[in-house]
Amino acid sequence: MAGQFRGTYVSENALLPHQASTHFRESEWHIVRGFRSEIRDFKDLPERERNARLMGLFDEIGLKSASHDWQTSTTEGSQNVYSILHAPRGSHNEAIVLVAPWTNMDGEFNDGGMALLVSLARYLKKWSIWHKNLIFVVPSNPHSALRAWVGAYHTSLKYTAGSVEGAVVLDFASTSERFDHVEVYYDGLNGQLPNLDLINTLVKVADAEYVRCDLPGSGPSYHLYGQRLQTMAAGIFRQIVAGIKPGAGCEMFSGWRIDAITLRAVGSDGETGHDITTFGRLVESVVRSINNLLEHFHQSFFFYLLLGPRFFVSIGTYLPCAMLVSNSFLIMAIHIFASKRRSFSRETIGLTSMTLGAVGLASLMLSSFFVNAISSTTWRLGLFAAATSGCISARKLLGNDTKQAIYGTALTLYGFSLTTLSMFNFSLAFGLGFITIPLAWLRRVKFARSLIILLTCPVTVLGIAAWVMDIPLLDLIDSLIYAHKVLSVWTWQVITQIWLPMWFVGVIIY
Amino acid sequence: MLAWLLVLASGILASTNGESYHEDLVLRPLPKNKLLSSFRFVAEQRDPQLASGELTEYTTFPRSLGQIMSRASTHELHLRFSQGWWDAESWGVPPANGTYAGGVGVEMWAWVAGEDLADAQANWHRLAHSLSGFFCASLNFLDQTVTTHLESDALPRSGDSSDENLYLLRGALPAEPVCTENLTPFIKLLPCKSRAGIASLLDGHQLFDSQWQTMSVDVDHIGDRLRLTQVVSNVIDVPHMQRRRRDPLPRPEPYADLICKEREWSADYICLPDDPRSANWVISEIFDKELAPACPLAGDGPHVFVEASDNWTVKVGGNVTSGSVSFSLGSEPVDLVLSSEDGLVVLENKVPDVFVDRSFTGYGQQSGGLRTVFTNPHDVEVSLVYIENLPWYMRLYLHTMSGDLDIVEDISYTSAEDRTRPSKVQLHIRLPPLSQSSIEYKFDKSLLYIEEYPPDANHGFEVPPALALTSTGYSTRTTSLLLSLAVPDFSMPYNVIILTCTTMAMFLGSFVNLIVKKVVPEPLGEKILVESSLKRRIQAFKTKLIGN
Amino acid sequence: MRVGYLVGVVAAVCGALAQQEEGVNNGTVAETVAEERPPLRVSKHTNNWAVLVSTSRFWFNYRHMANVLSFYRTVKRLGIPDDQVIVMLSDDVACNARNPFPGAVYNVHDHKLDLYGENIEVDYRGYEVTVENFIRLLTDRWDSDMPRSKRLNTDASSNILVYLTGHGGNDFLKFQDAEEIGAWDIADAFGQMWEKRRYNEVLFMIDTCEANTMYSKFFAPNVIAVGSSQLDESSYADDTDPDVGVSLIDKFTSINLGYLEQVNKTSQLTLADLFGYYDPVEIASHPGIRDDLFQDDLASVRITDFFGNIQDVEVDAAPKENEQLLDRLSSAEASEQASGHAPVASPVAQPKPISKTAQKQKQPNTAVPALTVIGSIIALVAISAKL
Repeated sequence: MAGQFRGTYVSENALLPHQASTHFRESEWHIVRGFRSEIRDFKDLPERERNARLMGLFDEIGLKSASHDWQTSTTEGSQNVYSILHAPRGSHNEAIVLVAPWTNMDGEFNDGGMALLVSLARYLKKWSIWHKNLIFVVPSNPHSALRAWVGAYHTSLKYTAGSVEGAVVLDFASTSERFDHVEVYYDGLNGQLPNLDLINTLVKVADAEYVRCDLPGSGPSYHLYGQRLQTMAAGIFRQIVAGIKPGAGCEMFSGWRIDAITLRAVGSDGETGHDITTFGRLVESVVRSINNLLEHFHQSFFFYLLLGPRFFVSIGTYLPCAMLVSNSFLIMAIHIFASKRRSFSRETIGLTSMTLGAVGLASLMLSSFFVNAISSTTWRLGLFAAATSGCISARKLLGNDTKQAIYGTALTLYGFSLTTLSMFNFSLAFGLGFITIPLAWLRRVKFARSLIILLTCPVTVLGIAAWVMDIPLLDLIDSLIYAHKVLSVWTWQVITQIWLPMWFVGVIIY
Repeated sequence: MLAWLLVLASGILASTNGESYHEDLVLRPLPKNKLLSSFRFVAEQRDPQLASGELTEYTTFPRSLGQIMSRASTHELHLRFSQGWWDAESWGVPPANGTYAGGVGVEMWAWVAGEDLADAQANWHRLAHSLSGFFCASLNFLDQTVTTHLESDALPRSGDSSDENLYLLRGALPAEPVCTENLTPFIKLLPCKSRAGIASLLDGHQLFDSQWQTMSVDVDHIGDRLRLTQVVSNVIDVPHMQRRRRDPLPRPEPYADLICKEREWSADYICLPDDPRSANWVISEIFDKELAPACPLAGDGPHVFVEASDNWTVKVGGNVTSGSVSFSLGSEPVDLVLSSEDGLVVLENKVPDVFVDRSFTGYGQQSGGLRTVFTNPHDVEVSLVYIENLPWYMRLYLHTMSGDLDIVEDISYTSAEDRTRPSKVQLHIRLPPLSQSSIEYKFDKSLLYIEEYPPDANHGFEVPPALALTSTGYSTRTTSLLLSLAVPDFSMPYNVIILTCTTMAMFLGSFVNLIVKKVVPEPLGEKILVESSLKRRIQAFKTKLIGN
Repeated sequence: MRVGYLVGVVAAVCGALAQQEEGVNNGTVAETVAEERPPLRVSKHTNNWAVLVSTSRFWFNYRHMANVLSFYRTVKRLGIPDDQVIVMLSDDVACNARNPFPGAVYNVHDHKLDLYGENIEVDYRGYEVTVENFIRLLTDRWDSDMPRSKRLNTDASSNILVYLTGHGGNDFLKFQDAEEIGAWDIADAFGQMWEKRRYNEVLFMIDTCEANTMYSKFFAPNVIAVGSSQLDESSYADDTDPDVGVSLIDKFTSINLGYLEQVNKTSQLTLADLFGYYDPVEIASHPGIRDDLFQDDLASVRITDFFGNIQDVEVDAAPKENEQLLDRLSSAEASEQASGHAPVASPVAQPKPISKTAQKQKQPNTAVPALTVIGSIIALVAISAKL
């Protein structure tokens, strides 16, 4: 709605987007083609050999390159290649990372991105303006491989180049040399977002190069309410599933205070449009702007919702929504406690604590803490069924007073948890609150209580989500647990330790 | 390097009249089209301060520096200004086994006389301030929070006296920029300035565009003699410099000038770039200046040494030789051309004794970890001393030291004191042959007072490089590190929030008091107080439990 | 009595008329010498100092460093030695890694003139440029360890040029984006300097937003203040350079430098000429000049009294040979200038004999007030006698 959002602006004066002229053009295009053909030549070789050839390309440019072997489990592991351009005049304690994975997020061969990376490495080495080291990374995929590299960089990697200030992932997967417009991916894990200034810089630079910038999942125009709403909804959905669904690569930098975005060239099947060196100039300008910074990104917003490349909602405006939703649980709890005439008896309190403890224990066992003990997802679902039946039997055993006490306490805890969650992961808290709000009405509505229970069941919702995302339910649960184990994504913990106990309580009291 | 020994020998022989000065320049092609140039200027004479009865004055040794040192009771001074990164894997050992190289920024250590440590620190303070005005660098920031006191024999000394009144103090400022205003006073110390001799090639525009550069000033006392050694070394990327002379910005090459590799898909518009292997390096083009005639004080010895493999031809004036060559400067300016069919073939570089890399581990603003990796590329054992000074706001936990601890023979640790001194970790390490070992320890980050944050607080804080000294005399430094501490929000909204919250807290506190508490007359109040005293409460509890 | 009274009145009236006549005379004299300028004053200073301060940090404030370096170059060119110039650069831009031209600072985008050069002394740099250090520098409150090159060793006959540039506002100037100096602080510092007899005259120039507010609180005598913009006005940058990626200089400073390029050591151009050159349209703000604390007319003050190291030297009656020598020297210099070479650097000022015409003009000026006074005294005596 008009008045609720603002136009974006570059807050950090030091960025100076596109103030300096860019020279990645003309004959550099020939060089991009040359590298592209060369990479296509060896792309079908076995992994070690092709990586050796790639390192050879970086070596010829004069950069220090190395390979990184990684393995997260017995079945998953491969090799990444990275190369460091040491800034000749900088202090050597900061770095900017440019990534071009072998395959992009949809599994397509990213030869344009890789060729661009190598030619940019050669071109950027000619400048002596770098205050920060430049690291060029070619992981085998933009998901676990990139995450493994980032993790290893901060723990055990052979060559390091200081703390990483910013990262840009390049995705140019088509075979043609032209593209129509650029899509910007910016979501991080657990609701983390890069500083808005990084996106603003890119949009300004794209403006100066006459390239259209879009947000994924939304159209070219953002002037109508419906378009902005769609963009915002897509953004919220992407934040919720970040890490669970294979993402664009920029989310792999979350957790170390690294601001990262992914640039994806779209619509590149025709012979018209911008050429690949324009894409390279976008990257050149953005890297130069990050280089201009002396301080970390700190001026602009870290919490925002983008309604378009030039429109955003800041946290002060959108947080009340999540607060209202989570506080409604609290209000319901207050209502329950306040409407009691007498105080609770000792047995009630005892039974309440015991029930809540049992519910908590069941949820804990389903969470990732015991992921090694309960290895199979089918076992998990079995445990879930057992717990549900336990709740149904408890329903018959417990008295009304106890049920009220349990309900009130659970609502209070749930409301506080959601409030806390909305502070750092608005999308997840809002989505969760939105779906589970009927649980607060259980005592108020007379009919359709079973429907409420059914609809707010985590398994049901996950099933619907799996159907929407077109993957089996078991795979979805597996990827949730994997995301927690490997990527530190807290979604599964939130589902099992906040949502699930509340639902169990709902089963008990309805 | 033999050249250095030769020159040193000739210098010592020339000191019969009490004063001597010599200078030399070493040019050495390095792998991947780089050129190492190292200028050394050594002035020596009898110390005028110690002269008894004889009339001695400052001749080759600059009076300004001598007076600064004597006023600050400094016996020996070492000063380093460095920028860039020395690629030890490709380039081997820096000139003179790394003796004249420093870590990024400014580093200073000196043996300062004093009755006790406090007196020595006062002298160090005086020294740092005087030198800050002299070298136009912020050396005055080398105060107590940054300076450490080491044992007198921790660092190599050229003098031989083991005076007990001498304290070794060392400090480093890794964030200090090095620029022409530091080069100007450096050149002013030379007898011929930059008008004659090898110093005529020194130019800030070229020196500060190098891959690595270092300027060092060393003042030693040897017996009753004073010696000033000034060294400027830098590594230049020659194709880059040649390109900059044509066009300072890397505009795209003209299509006709592209050199491409042969491939089956090569065409006019598809080019896999190839760099020419032949090299033709004209020194006047690289340095933007010609070598001026010799400095009259410098003596006759060879002034310029070129250390190149046999595939290089060196053209000096009219003479053409191949391989390593040395010559003296005459009375005319001279230009030097190094050329080769294959510029990538150079003399083999001596492999350093040890490679040391240091990095931060962990994340977050509360704590972190420090990890140092030592690599021994030789098949003999290497023993070294590793000295690290960490600022006091990195609270080190030595008990968390982990990794390959069996390489550590001895630890000397001085803990930091808040706002008074940094921590000092000195490890004696023995590395097994052909090995790579790492040592890690954890630290906590602390919060500073608001006035202690620098104006660019969100940049982070620079941690000085660590120093590693092997028993064979090789010294190397790690890179500096950027520590990000939690920083308050310096902007106005922060202040507004704080003020508003304080006001609300005060208001709410009083309000809650008013609602919850009841105002009673004093006698009643006293009665309640007596009744609710602790003794009564315990009695009441006992009654409830046991029953009356 | 009446006669006495009449005589007194007549005398007073004559004196007044005479003054008017003199005024008319002056008017006519002025008319006849309309092309002639007001006589240049004889300045009392014996040495010149300059304090050039840039107060902003970060690469995008390149232009503030370029401002200071441009003035540094100008004052050095006009003779002030490095020892007597205190340069405070709050950030390093010449050797900043982001500078595509290492070791060089430009103020015009044709990159012809390198302001940094090969011989430069920066006295305070980086974090040393703070409000405290600036005030201590002006008032010379240091402990004994402070080296001489970083002190302002001025005395009662020093003329000081103080130039500040950076980001500022109403009554304040930001130092390093972290602290501020207020207009009162600078005014007090100058007041202290006057008490301690640390200057003869000060020219204070400031190029920031709302700069004119910074000198509004001055109270120490012998201070001329020039600001680049008035209250609620910003000062603008000039010359954005796409190669370096930043603006190279500020408009106000650029205008000043443009005018100062024609000034050399023997130049007789005055401060009034310089200030008259300011065009608010070109500068895009309204510069302000405050000279009420200054006792001489700005049209009589040479630019080199502050920007150069030229002092007035009284020469006793010179013997003929010396006069011929002087003539020959000045003609040689004139021919050198004509051929485009800079005059040979000479720290000693050229002697400027006091002109005889100036002395002549002085006499009638003293005569008129004397006449009026005598007339009034006679009138008073007459009146009192009558009473």
